[in-house]
Amino acid sequence: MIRTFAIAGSLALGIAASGPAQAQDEILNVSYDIARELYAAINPAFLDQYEGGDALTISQSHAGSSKQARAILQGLQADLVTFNQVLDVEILAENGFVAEDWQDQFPNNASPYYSLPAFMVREGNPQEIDGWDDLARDGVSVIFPNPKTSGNGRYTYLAAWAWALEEFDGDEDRVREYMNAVLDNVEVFDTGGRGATTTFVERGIGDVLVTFEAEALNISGQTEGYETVVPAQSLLAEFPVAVVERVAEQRGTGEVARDYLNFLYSTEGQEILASFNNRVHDEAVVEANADRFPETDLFTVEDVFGSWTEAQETHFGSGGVLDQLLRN
Amino acid sequence: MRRPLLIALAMLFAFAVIVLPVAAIFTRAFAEGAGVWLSAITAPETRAAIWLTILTALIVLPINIVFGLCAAWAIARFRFPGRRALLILIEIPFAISPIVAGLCFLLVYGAYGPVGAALQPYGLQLMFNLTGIVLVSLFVTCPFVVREVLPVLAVTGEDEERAALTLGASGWQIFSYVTFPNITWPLLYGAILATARAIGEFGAVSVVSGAIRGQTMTLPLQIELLYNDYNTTGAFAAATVLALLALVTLILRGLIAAFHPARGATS
Amino acid sequence: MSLRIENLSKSFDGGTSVLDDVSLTVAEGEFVALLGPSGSGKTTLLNAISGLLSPDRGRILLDGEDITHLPAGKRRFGMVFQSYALFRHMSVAQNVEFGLRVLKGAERPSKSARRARVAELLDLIEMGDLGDRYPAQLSGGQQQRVAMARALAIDPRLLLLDEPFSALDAQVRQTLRASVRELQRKVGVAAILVTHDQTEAFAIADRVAVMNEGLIDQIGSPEELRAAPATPFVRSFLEAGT
Repeated sequence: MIRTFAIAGSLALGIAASGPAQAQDEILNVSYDIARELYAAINPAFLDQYEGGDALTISQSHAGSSKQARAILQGLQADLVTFNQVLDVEILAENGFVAEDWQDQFPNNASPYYSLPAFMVREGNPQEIDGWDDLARDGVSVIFPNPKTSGNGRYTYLAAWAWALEEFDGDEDRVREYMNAVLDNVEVFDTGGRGATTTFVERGIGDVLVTFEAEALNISGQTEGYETVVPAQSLLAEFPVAVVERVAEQRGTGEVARDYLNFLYSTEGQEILASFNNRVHDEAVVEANADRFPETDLFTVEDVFGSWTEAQETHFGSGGVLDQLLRN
Repeated sequence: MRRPLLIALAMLFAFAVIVLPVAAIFTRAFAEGAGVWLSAITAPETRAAIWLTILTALIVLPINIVFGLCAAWAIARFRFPGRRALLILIEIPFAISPIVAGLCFLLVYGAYGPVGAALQPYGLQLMFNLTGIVLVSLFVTCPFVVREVLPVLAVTGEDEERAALTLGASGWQIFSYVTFPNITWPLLYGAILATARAIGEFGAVSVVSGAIRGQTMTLPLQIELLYNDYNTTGAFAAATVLALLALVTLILRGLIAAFHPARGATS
Repeated sequence: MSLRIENLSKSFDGGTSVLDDVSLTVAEGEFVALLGPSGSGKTTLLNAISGLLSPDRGRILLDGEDITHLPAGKRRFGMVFQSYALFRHMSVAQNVEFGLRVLKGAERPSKSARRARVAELLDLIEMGDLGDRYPAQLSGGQQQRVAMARALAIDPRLLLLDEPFSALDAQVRQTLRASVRELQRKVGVAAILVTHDQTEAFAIADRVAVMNEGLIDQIGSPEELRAAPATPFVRSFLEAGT
């Protein structure tokens, strides 16, 4: 009874709060957690150079990208998404929110910037950690988030696996041996990137933190006493973007959304992205920042594992490889 | 001999679980000085979050009062089919984890749920905005007023109401002259509990808010955001605001206890 | 005024009939007692008369008008409850004033008129200077008298009393009984009293209706009942009461 009346009452509120058709001079960018500062910088730059930018408002929503994808499925009115996991855009595509060929809609597989799992070590790199083999070494304490709960952690795991596959010529037994050694070296499994960083930085645990190069550069840039080491090989971590067609069509914001995403590929956009320690594709910008981003060979998930869905099922599903490894 | 020990244990518990954490909030918040604290809590997004939290509480409060009263009255005074079911229903928000509640609301009122989909053609959106936040806040707070008022109504006042009826009073007159004075304090107390709960709610709101910065971030959500943003001082500064709001609630509750000792003693 | 109850019946969910074809008349100024053990239906009958309860069958006529389904608030019957049911948050004066205060529109007397009437009634129950006290500060007997005054304030056509003295000790009960009787005679309003106490019924009422399991076994003046009990139940009930 309470709820019935509450619904009725809130419906009235809803009319007030939501309005019939939302004004078209606002778009919502639904993004992942740590992209807050990035888009706080991008948005004013975009609006400055955009015709009609004075009348346009860009709203931001930030949370775990899987949570965001689910929210969009439930009606969160995102005009576009800027995620850090391909899987989460795939889900939207599967459910008809995003075009099936979304990866062809923008350059570089619809990923204006990318990063890769790298290492953050203490100043001077006392343990001399240079590459993935060092993570399995005796006496090295490794920190990275739990792949079961963190996209960041999954990237680390897959990168290590991919490296091992190549190093041991596809000998899966030796790969598993290596992975076991690495997992044994992990002192603490935090649930997310933030937690892992806290463990490494504020609690001072571990010799190396494995996280995205962008993250590592950001932290070592802000805090004294840390260095970033980029291994010779790593895994490509794409940051996919897409227009949420279903919403944009309804709201008539398709063109604006596309223009916004295209801005990320413009020189100015790429410069801003690079300033946040992301790797970009614009040649000029790459050249200008070459010293900050050492060369590295990147595997792709598609090449090594077939697809993200396959990687997810094989390794991270219940009873998957990770479970098997952890059981030993 | 045992009494001092018991008291000591209770004090220790209170200190460890309540005093220490709360003190830590204020210590950490002011660790970089009052100036930093001030700029943190006046940052536009934090201000928006504070306002949204207060606004939600202001909307939820009168609705809770009205419908808490109606439900308590109906249950205490009438026998109707489903009465027992209503009693159980009212307890449900206590039994369900707030996150589960939020998910259920999404399922039903989200744009592709049964209710949400029906309303979509009219341009009505119930989730990921203030409405959604208000709805889940109502869910988690609705038992409080009923739970405080119902026991009082059930035990007292029925004869007085019947007397008023025979004296010619209308339903509204009976309620305002006879019933309401009997339940003013329990009502106030329930309302305060409900408000405190609404202000602090995190799980359910987190699911349905949509996390739109400056628009649908309540204070608890904003605190989490600041913390995840590596802005620890900012997070604790915002937490002090939340703690202060809670303090106001405590003071009000204390005032009620002072003026109506019986109410104060029961809790 | 004349009250006529015709063939009133009432059963509750269990199917047990609480009132079984009850008929009764009450004349102007008359004091009738409904006497019987618990479960005899006397309180049910009173509640039906007051309008707090709806009978399944039968009629209630007031001066020839059918009031069976008239809402309790519109019958203008003053009721005194076993628990007095005084409004605990109002003073004695406010309690007595209540029936006048809730009148609507043109019927509602002015504040001064109300105040005068309250003062008049408080004098009548000899509590003239206790108007500002609260029910919690009064003795049982005093509360009872206030309940009477409150019921009389609306100038009722009928006074209904539901075991009004049962919560009081013997001494107070006697005094109060007498003063209620005197009050009733003075005001001249008809009254129906429910009680299980035979002494009380015989002392206060003009006529007594002995009830047993939903039926009125016999109705008559105390003398008539004593002289010629109509049923074995009446006889044994009266014997037990003495």
